[in-house]
Amino acid sequence: MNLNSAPISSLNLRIRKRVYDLFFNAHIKNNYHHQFEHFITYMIVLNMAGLVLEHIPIIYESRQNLFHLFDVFSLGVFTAEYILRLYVAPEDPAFHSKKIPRLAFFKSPFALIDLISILPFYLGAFFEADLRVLRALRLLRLFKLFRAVTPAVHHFLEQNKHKSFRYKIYALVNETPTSGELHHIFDLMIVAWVILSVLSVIFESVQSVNYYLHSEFVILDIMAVAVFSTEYLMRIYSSPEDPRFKAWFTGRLKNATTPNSIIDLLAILPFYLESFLHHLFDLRFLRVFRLMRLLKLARYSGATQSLFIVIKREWPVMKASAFIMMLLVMLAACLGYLFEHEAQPDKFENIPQSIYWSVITLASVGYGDISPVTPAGRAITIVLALLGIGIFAIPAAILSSALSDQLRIDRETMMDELYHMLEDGVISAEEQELIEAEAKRLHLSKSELDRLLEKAKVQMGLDQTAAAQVAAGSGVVSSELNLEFLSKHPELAAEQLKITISKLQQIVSISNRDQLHQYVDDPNNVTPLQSELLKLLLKNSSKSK
Amino acid sequence: MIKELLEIGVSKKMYGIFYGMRYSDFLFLWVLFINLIVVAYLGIGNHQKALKVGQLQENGEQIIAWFEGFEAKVQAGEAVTQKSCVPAEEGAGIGKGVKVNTWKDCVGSLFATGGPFGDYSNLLMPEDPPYASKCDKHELGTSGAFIFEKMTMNPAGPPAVSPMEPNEKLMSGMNIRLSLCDTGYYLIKIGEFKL
Repeated sequence: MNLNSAPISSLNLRIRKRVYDLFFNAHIKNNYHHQFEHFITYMIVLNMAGLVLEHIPIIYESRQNLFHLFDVFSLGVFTAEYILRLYVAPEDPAFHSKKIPRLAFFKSPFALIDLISILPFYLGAFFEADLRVLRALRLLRLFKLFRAVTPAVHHFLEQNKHKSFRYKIYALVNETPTSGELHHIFDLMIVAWVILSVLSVIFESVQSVNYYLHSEFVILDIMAVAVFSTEYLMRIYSSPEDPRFKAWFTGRLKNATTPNSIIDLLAILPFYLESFLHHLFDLRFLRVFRLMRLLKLARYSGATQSLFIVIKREWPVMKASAFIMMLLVMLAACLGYLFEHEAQPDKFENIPQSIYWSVITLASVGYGDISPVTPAGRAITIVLALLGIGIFAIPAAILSSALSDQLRIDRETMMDELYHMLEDGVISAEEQELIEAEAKRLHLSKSELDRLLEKAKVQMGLDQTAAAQVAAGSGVVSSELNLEFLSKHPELAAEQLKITISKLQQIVSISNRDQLHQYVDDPNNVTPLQSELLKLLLKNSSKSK
Repeated sequence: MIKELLEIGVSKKMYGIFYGMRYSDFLFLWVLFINLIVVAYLGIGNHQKALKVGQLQENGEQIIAWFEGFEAKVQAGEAVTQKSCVPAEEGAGIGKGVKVNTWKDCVGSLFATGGPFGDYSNLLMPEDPPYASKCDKHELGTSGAFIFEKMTMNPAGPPAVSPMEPNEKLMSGMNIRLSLCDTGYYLIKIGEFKL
């Protein structure tokens, strides 16, 4: 019996270790830990959304079965998660050293939250229980999110231990070396609120939806304004931590006038203005401005920033192109008015109307509501339509080429950074993270990144080989080559050894041999190997003399 | 301070958040707090208005249901209490001394004390009447009022809609749309009914 249980136990240990490494070990790259955590987080968020939607009769009543199915599925997922965590608890470093690891896990706060969020539903199957209480208990699932937030908070506080309160705020809302995961969670929360809030504004305009969910939309808007205004104040308050906005007042003012801050302000301003000034002005149009919140996402998109850089850089050319376009529009409008006004006074009534026709024709839109009927007017339209293709293509081509240039510049900058990182021959974990973040910003695939890394390594290797060859040829030892590089190039390692030995010989030949002997003979000064080597060098030096 | 924080269960790491706080930091926290209070205050006001709009929508649905029931009774030739809302049949002695009810008579009797909607009031503007001829941002009192509009069917497109004038004669088969003038002076369509 013992003979049989040993392999089973060993198999169980291996499976447990494998499960832990696959889903729960944050220190292993390329496992499913992040995917698993994200899945659980999404499930929690969906559960919360479900909980809210269940209180809206128009949505819930006709889809009760769907809600029930989702509830059962969620319960299954959270139960599986709990069982898995309990199973792998002995592998978890947090409980590994405990006497009974699974009991320690069971008693841990997060495990208790996990259990409370699922257990009542199983008990409800066996005992009489108020369904409303069971449903309300699902709110506890929200606390499961703390599993992701708590380590991030601890890491953030550890990283910013001796930093001021204002810097902590700055590090939370901006990417800094000490921001860590908490900043990413903060960004994610803002992005989620932006999307939710914009969707709410869009659906609010659909009367059939707004009719039933008006008060829910109002609540969402209030919550969004609370979140965005807090974020705005945090950004403005902590801006003096940024070297560009150092002065306490003018710095903040300067920060408040940056495009990103203006967008942040526009996202919340409609709420305050509509609330305070609605008696004085007609501010209904401000409701639509809530869609400006979408622009907040530009802060989180590297591609948008690249586009802004490109437009800024190419502005003089774009200006010239716009000027030519405007010239052509005006010329065509005047000619159109000249030739068509008499034939169609209702359509080509004045030059502004002709401008509309001219733009629609030049842009190849061609609604057809205004069209020429005279031969001269039609002839102009032909020329205009043909020119339009080229004229409107110019800015597009400029932007496209400039974007491509920008991408090349960004990649070259990244290569320079890679060279810089490879100067010590090793890419640390932090450097690897920076490279991956930059690659993500530049939309580089994994294979492209690997290729660039390899290229940089080869380039660095070639440089070092050349340096070594120069050094060997001139008989002068250059700067030390790194050990990792030498381990991969034995011929260079041999060359380096020869150079080092030559240097040792030179040192011995110019030194006082008696004093060296005395020094070497004292076992406190050198190790046995060093003593042997030095004696050999001294012996060799005597012989050559 | 630290002792108190630890006593109430705040960990040392949480205390780390408040490390090296200055007066300006406390001022910032106050501004943050006041902003949240202001948002909550204004938000509660907005939410209460939204709830009132919801209540008015429900009232509007009741009005539609009442008119549908009323029309069914008139069609069936049953006795109705609101005689002032009974529409005249097309061509049934109009202009020959037969009194035709007007919209003013009908709506007035409906919302008058003792009428079926006598309890209904303009929840958003309590001093103003519960119904109006149009939703007008220049007349603040129309916010929260029911707007009745006459619909003229157009086979080629959407129906033409015009306000129900007080002296509008009530004719059988007349299509009426009921809307609510919301807080932003936009119309919220509640439903349509036939006389």
